[in-house]
This record gives sequence, structure tokens and C-alpha cells, in this order.
Amino acid sequence: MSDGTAHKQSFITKYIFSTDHKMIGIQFLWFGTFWLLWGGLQAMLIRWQLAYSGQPVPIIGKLLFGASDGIITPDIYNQIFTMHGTIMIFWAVTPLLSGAFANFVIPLQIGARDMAFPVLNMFSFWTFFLSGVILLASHFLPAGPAAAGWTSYPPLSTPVGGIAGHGQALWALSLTLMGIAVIMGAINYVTTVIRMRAPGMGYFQMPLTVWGIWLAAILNAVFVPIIAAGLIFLLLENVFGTQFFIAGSKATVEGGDPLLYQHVFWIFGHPEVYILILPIWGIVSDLLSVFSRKPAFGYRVTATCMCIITCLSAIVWGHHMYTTGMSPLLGKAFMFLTLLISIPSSVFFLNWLGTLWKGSLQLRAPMLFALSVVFVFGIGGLTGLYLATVTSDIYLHDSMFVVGHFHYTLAASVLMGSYAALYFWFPKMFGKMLNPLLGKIHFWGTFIPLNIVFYNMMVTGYAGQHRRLYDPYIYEFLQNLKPLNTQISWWAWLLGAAQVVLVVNLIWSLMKGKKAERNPWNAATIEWTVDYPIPHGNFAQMPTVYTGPHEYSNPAIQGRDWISQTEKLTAAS
Amino acid sequence: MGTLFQSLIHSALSGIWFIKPPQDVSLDGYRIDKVIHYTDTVVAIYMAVVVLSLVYFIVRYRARPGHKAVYERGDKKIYIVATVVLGFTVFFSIDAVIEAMAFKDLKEAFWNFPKGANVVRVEVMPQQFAWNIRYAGPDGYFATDDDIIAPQNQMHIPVDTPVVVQMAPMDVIHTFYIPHFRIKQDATPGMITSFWFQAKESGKFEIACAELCGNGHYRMRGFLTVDSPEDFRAWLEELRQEQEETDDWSDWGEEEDDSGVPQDWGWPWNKKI
Amino acid sequence: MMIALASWSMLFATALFGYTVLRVQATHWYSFGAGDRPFIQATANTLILLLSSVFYKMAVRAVGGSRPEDVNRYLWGTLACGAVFGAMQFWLWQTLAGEGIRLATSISASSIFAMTGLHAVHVLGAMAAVFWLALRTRRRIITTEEKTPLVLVGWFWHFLTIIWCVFYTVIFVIH
Repeated sequence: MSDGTAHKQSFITKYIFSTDHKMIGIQFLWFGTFWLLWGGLQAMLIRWQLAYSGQPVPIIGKLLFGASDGIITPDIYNQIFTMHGTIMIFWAVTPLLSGAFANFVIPLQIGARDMAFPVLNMFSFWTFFLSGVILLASHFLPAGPAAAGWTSYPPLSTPVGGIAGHGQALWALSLTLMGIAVIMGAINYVTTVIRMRAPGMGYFQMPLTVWGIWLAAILNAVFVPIIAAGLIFLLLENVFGTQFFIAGSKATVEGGDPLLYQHVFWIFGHPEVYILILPIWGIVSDLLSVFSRKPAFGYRVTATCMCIITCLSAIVWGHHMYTTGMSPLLGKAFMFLTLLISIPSSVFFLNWLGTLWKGSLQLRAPMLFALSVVFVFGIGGLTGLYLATVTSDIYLHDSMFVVGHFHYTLAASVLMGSYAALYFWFPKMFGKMLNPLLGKIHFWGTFIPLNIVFYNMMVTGYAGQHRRLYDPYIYEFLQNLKPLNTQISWWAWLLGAAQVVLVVNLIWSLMKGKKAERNPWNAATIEWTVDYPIPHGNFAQMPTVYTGPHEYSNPAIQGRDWISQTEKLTAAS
Repeated sequence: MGTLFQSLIHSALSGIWFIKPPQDVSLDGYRIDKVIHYTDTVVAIYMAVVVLSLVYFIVRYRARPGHKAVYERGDKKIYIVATVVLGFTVFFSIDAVIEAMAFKDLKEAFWNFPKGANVVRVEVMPQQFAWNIRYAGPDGYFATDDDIIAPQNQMHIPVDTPVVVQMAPMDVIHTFYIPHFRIKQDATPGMITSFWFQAKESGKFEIACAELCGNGHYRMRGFLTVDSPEDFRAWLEELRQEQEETDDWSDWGEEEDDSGVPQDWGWPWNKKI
Repeated sequence: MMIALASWSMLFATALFGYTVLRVQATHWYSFGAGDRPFIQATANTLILLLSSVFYKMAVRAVGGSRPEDVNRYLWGTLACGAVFGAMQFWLWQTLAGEGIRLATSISASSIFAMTGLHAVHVLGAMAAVFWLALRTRRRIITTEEKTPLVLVGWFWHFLTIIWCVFYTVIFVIH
């Protein structure tokens, strides 16, 4: 649409098979939120088993686990944590970051009318949706869904492993489809950023949000096909009885190699975690700037650091495999490379603090969440050091310490960052403000339990508790952890309950919320120059970019403390 | 709430991870504890700096009437140099140190397998869901007629003696884990993996599986008993006498343990790893 | 399309990586003598795909040229080659099956079937795209400005031809 006017759309083309990036973004938002709640419920169940091992789950127990009278049995427990991990990473965080916010924000922030390939964009969502349907269906198989952990190591995840039913096969299939959807999206985001920036918007005038999402998309395009290949091979194992990854006495043909899967998985898997966090780094950098009324400190350096980390992420995967018996030289190489990532990470982290320094901090809901990311990512990043070191990893590998570490970097940093993004862009997506008081309650109700849960989880890991245990307390060396594990569970349930506040806020604000003005945050980026509802094609006239994305408190501006990217500095003063 | 308060006090008094790991009775486990404690210290210092900065900034620079932000882009050379220097400082104060410590420990201990006449060798075959343990017997060779098989899940070793273990699992990936020795090593089908350790004290310690291996993963519980050398020899001798009826290596294949595993699962000791 | 090709490259590269690892570690692996039927079939397929790419290149060349109807003709030529390729692949798999070599028979069999199967599935997809272009160019002459979809699908087609050449070399030629 070259003139910015909306063409006539039916209900179906406007809401269901839309090719408008904003609508697709909102579709991804609801899709991801659904799965976030589903995965969250599974987490609550895991915590029940760890606190009250073997007892029937109250209220919903009989409904969910009728066959065992409401008790979670070991095989079901394995299914629950497998699906919890799989869902949270691929069906909650990925659609929210690389689906919802990527789609909604990129074209608006770079001054484009839509994505480069709107039809491909639509296919991306519906392929994702289909993958979700298959995954959901796997929950209702007679023998239940996959149960080999989200990492799904063979031979356990093949028929040799003894897991009943077709859950593993459907798991591999749905994940492959999801991967295809993600690649489609990545192609769009990368191309759009390269080709469709408005006049005046060079790479170093882009908001850091766009940098984060763009770098994540590059990683997606390169590394998701790797896991897709691995999954296809795993699917062949489960459906056709091939033995690529089966060795030892259970193999009937020789030559298979379980380690091959692990390498393929983690060559993808490590960049994947950076795919999940890069958008958040970008978003937080921008939000800290908006709400400190100051430019993002060291913008170019931050963007450069994000690029360096993107590159380094490709060569450190072995730190997930230190205990497999790899050659000492390889172990040392991976340790060195992994630890190198500390340098650019520390630099851009310092830039975050630099943004706050001498700012004028507005502690509104998006800022509270953004500030919390600084805190939780500090902890998450620093605790990675224990695991990067081969010797301390010998003790901490596959323990609850690892679980605490990655929940700090994922569940805490990514989740709080996503909430920051939600509160921030909600007015532009829906034309209403989210209720600020409920926002603050949601914030504290999430932040405090989050820290208590995952910090203490690291404590249990350091105390020796290893992962994926249905009943840790059959071990004498773990019996002293039962009180702490029970405490963790209660705080986890509080954490879950606090999310109800968000759901209430969403529904209430959508229905009765205060109407949002065009730019409630006085933010400088381009999406705040258009009124809600944003028309198909976004801009009546293509914007021209004159300044950077963080021109706050520039002394040359008079009368206000900000200037939009599309305004000239001299004109405003 | 009471437990939470107690935890906070504990935390302040005894380091950042306020529940101690199981007591280490191994020769080299202290190295791991040491590198963790060092990391703890530096991590705590840096995190304290971050938290104090955050709190200070939030209080000092909060938006209020009359307070204005300072327009600082942070792109002056001095700032770039400062942040990069600080980044390298972080690297050299933590990363480089723990890396050096780890390299040293790996070279001196964990990858420095003992050779010598007094080394006790054990073969372990993890399966769903038990540990199978085997000793070489009087001839000193594995996969021969006089091998000694321990009762399932019961491993014995002599104190103050280096023990080398080789593992090959029967079915899926398992991980041999003894928290009191800070040991953890994967057993992957199709490979033989190995590790070594030495006990400083006698006692009975739990073995666990640390890689998801199926529905019984949580109950793959074994026991490592550390005996005096005499008791260890006596225990082995007693087992040897019980198993003397087996004449031939080929008969081992027909012998089965309680879970139906044929008892000829041993392999000739792999000298290359 | 370049980014898409990068993604597809990673997919096939991973398959190749897995194949290489498994082959290097294996004690025995199928090798095909020059007179074996599978080798002849695979070689024929290589030539057929190369021909199909030539046809496609001619199709792109013909845009805006003196005989615009050639665009459509060459596209049908590519499709015909593709169809023959598919049929020949199927015959190759049947031949192998006849010798007792099936998907799950051994690691080397699994690898051969998996790699050629993965490639064949993508060829089918590409043929669908070429078919759509063939229909489009049947009714109307396309101009030089409109040839982008033609060029892009061509890149994908040539990419698959190259992948086949690599796979052919690795599976059928190298011993």
C-alpha cells in the first residue's frame, strides 16, 4: 500500500488472515500469553511435587490426573517438566519477543509501512499456530506428551529409551514446524531492517530495540535450521526406527552416536539463549533511556557489544557438555571462549548504569520492570561464571543451580523485560493505558517472589540437589532441603498468583481503561508519532529521520525535554 | 516466613549460598570448593556494587520538581575507555583467575589419572535404573573368568587409594554423581568414559544419577562404601568365593542378576583413556 | 531470498555434518562401484538437474528478449527435468530396497535415505513454485521489471542443484 490508506478488509482478512504486521504482532501476543500461562501452570505443578511429594494435587488434581487419583506419578512428572521447558522457551518467549514485539515494533520504529514480506509474515504466524495445535494435541495422547526433558537427549528420546507412546515424535514434529515459522519470521525481520529503514535512519540511528531483535533474527536464521535438521533425524528415529543416535548394547546397527545429537543441539542451543535475551537487552536499553530522560549511554558501544556477543555465542556451545568426556583441549577452549563473553557483557551492563547516572528517573511501570532486569540479569550473568568454569561445573552440572541460573536469565530477565515492553507499548497497540496501580502491584508481586524462588533454587543446587527428580527426598543427602523446597514452592505459587493481577489489568484496561494520548511517555522513537488506531500502512507520509533515538534533555531543545526522531533539532529550539 | 528470616541470617553469616554442600571426603574435591568460594567472593562484591549503584541512582536521581537530567551521551572517548577498562577489570579479576585455577586443577588432579600398582580399577555399567559394578578379580584383567561383580548399587573402595572408574551404560545416557566427592561424569552409550578419585575418610556415601534417564531416574540410588584396605580386600574375597561356581567366561552370559542383566557385561580395560 | 538460502544452507550443512561424523566414525559404509545401478541412477540425476538449471537460466535470459514465449517453454523444461529427477530418485530408492537397503537397515542406509529424502522434499516444493511461475507466464508476457519472482525462485532451484551435486559427490563418489 503505497499511499498509506487502508484498503477495504473483511473481518477475515483484518483479524484472522491479516498481513498487517501490527495485527500479526497482536496475534502473536495472545498466542504467546496463552502458552505462558499454560507453561506457568505446569511450573506450579512441578513445585507441588517437590513440596508435597506423592500427595494428590488439590482442587485440580483429580481433573488433571484422574487415573492416579490426583497424584502426579513419576512418568507424568517427567512429562510436566519436559513440556514446561519446551513451552516456555519456544511457545511463550519466542512468540512474544520474536513474534509480538518484533512484528509490532520494527516497522514503526524504522519508519516502514510494513514488513518486507507481509504474506510470508502471515504464514509465519499460522505455521506457528499449527505447531502449537500439534503440541497441544500431544498432551492428550493416551501415553501423554514427550518426557525426555526439553533437551530430549537420545537414546532416551528414541524408542530405545522406553518412553511409551508417540509423544516424542509429535514433540519433534511440532518443534520442527515451529522452527520453520521462526525462520520465516527471521527472514522478514532481517530483510526489513536492512532494506526498509526510512530516509535518515542509518544503523546507528535505530533504537536499540531494533538492534536487539535484528541480531536475534540473524541468529535465528542461521541456527534454527541446525536444530531443524537434528529434529528431523530424531523424528526418523522415532517414526522409522533409524539409529543415528543410538549406540551401545541397545543398538541393532552399528555406527550411531548419541553425542552427535548433543553437539547439534547445543550448537543451536547456545545461540538460542542469546536469541531469547538480545531483544530484551535492546528494549531495556531503550526504556532506561526514555524513563531517565537521557540518551542511552554509549549507544554505539552497546550496539557493538551486542554484535560481538552475537558472534561469540556461536562458538561456546561445549560448556553445556563438559561432563561428557570431551577432550581436555576442547574443554579448555570452550571455557576460555565462554568466559570471554564477560567482557562485552560487562561493558554494555555498565552502559545501562551510565544511562541512569545523572538522569531524571520516572518510576512508572515500564521503568520498574526495566530496572529490575538490570538487577536480575546481573545475578543471572554472574552466576553463569560458575558454570563456565570446568571444575566448578563438575559439581554444579545438571543441578538445581543450573536451573536457578537459567531462570534468572530467562524467567526473570526475559519475563520482566517482556512485561516492561508490554506496559510500554500497550497504549500504542490498544489505545488504552494499563492501570498504573495494578501495574505496581503486579511488579512487586512478581519481583519479590521471583528472587526468592530462584535464588533459593541456586542454594538447593549448591547443596547438591540435582535436576529432574521426582522425589529428591529418597536421598539422605537431600533430606535437609525439604523445608527450603517447600518454601520455594509457596513463593512460586505466589508468583503465579501475581500474574492474575496482570490478566485482570489486561482485561479491565482493554474494556474500561483510560484512553491513551498519542505519546504518553514523551518518547522519541517514531512509533509515538502516529495516533491509535494506526492505519494499515502506518504513515500518511513517509517519515524522515533527523536525529538519534534518544534525544532527551538536549539543552538545545527549549520548552520540553525531548525531541522526536522525525523532528529537526533546530526547528524545535 | 520464619524459615525465610533464618535463611537471610544464615546467608549473611555463611556466604552467599547458605546451605552447605555435603561434606567433601575426597582428595581433590577441595579444589572445586575453592574455586566456587573465590567466585562467590568476587561475584558478591560486584553485585553489591551494582545494587548500591542502583539504589543510589534511584534515590538520588528520581524525577522530582526542579530536578533535570544531564544530557550525556556517553560517547566521549573517556567514557568508552573507562567502560572497556572496567570490562577488562571484571574479566581479569574473576574470569582469568577462575580459568587459571581450573586449568591448574584439571592438569594436576582431574585429568591427571594415577598410574601405579595400587590403583583400584572399577567398571561401572549404569542401566535403567541401577548401577552395575565390577572388579577385575585376582588376574587383574576385566572380562575374564575371575571378574568379581558387586551386588547391584553397592560399590566398595579402599580409603586413601586412587580409584579409576570406567563406565559404559547399557541403554541410555546416565551420569554418575557422588556429591560427597564432588564427582560427576556422564556415561554415554557407545563410549567408554572414565574418571578417578580418592577417598580421605571411610564411610558410606550415596551415589545418584544426574542425567534424566527415564521414569526411574530419581530412584537410581547407589552406595559407595569406603573401607579400610583390609576390609576392602576381605569384602572382595568374600564375593569372589561366592561367585566361584562360574567356570568359564562364556558362562557369564547365562548368569543373570535380579533384574535380568546378563553378567558378562564387562569389557577389557581401555588403556587409552 | 539470500537470507532464506542462508537458512537452507545451514539445514543441509548440518545434515552433511552429521553424515560426515557418522561416516568417519563408522567401520563400514556402503560404497557404490561405477557399474552399480544406483551409481548410474544418481549420476543420471545429477546430469538431469544440471540440465534443469540450464533450462531455468535460459528462461530468465529470455525475459524481455526477442522470443518472450521461450520463458514459458524453458520453465516447462525445468519442470520436466524435475519430474524425471523425482521419478529417477524413486527408482533409485526402489533399487536400494531391492538389495535389502532400507531406511533403518544401517546407519549408512539411514543417512543416504535421509539426505536424499530431505533434498527430494525440497525439490518438490521448488517444483510447485516453478509450476506456479509456468502458469503465470503462460498467459502473459512478463517484463524485465516483473522478473524478480522468476529470478528468486531460480536462485532456490540452482541452490538445490548445487546441494544435489555436493550430496552426490559425498554419497556416491567418495569412497
